[in-house]
Amino acid sequence: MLVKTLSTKQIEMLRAMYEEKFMRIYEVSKWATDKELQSRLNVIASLYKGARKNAVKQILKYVDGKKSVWDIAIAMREDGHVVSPEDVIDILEKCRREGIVRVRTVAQVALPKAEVYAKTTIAEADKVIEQLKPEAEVVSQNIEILKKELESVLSTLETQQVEVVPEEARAISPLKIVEDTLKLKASGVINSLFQIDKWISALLIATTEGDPIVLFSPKPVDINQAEIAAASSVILATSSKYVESFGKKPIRRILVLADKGIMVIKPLINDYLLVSLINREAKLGIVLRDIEWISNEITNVLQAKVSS
Amino acid sequence: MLATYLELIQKRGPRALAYAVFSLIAEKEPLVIIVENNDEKQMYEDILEEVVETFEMRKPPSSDIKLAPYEVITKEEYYLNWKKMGGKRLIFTEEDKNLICPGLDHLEKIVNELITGKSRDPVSRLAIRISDILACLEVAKDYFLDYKEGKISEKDFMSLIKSRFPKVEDAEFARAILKTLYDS
Repeated sequence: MLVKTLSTKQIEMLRAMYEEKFMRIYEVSKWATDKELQSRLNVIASLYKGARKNAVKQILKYVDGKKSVWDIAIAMREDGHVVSPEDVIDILEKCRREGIVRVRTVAQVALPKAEVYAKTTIAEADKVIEQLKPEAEVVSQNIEILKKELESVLSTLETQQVEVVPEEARAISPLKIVEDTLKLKASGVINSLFQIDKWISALLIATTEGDPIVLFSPKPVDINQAEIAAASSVILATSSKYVESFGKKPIRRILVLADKGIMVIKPLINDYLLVSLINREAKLGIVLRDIEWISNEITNVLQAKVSS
Repeated sequence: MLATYLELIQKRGPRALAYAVFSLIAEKEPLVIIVENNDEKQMYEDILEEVVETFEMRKPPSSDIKLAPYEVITKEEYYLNWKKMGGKRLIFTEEDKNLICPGLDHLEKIVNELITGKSRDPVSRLAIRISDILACLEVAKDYFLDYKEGKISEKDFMSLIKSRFPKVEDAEFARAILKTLYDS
């Protein structure tokens, strides 16, 4: 089953397209006059609001033919701009369409790696998933081995019924959980989030029915996934109902502010939701941009959608 | 599937091909020219090879103009090997064709005129026309340097350039190339 839906080439392409865009090095057209640059930047800025509008006006200061998108995102955040790496890509691609920048090359260094711990509710599946190292070079070799191991694990699960949640109560199959987790790990999406955002302490992907799929964290955490998933699902369902009654659907995100931290619940595609646990000292604007960025990426990965 | 160069131009616009040819002239580093698919890769390889070979045959021995070495790859090949492209000059024919560049504007018109014209063998004609413009740059370069040093006015410089080229578009393209190559 897994072989049909998760091809090695698809995984490799997904990761390549994801990583490549952050390593692009853009340069400003040396033929464009200051007036042309300014006029086209104004056109692009008119497409944005708030912090990103200001980022558009300043972005060419950072485009020097040497800095990668990743470097530009870090530099802009350090200078107080509320942008995610995806925002920087988005702005630069619009500048590219307007002809004021072009891609010069790609950086020779790979995307920085952060440790990612993934935990599902199936202990046996966790062991197999753990074997999938984040480095792209080993993904293609590992995937073939993992496919075989997974089939073996899943057939064992089916016969032995080794599950935390009983099969009949589970809205999502163990195979789907493992497959989605594998795709997310192999894509490198979560690695890059934890690399650039030190305030997010855990990300839980769950179904809107309240079933946890996988918990990602930059270091091991002791969190009851089932409780968070169930609570988040209830909060989302209840809030959706009330927001609908005000005629303000759909919900973009729900913030739960506590004394010691913040929880952000964000609906993803169809039946999925993303719960982010955030440190209290976080710069909320930047974290919310990062959550917006990462939820789009997770959606793309879960749908196995490859976009440039 | 694309069967003719005309179909390529109709699908992608003349500017995409013009951007690849312009990069051969304007850039010094080895280029990686990235096109959409294998059909287009074959066409780009044929066209660029013709341009390079024709220029090598027709250029004056004293010419210091060198076309950049290049390889043409598809987008899929690029994404599967992008980590090996670090530091290389990438020419995305589709995504970067809108670049603001007067030389590219002029070359786009030339490409459009020749490929969409009714002439036989438009690629050879394109290669010859570009090669002839580049061959004349040797003399035009001296005019440009005189103009840069203030020895002649811009008006005189343009009349000298136009006297060297049969078509105004070619003269404008030549001026843009000179500015790109020697206006540092």
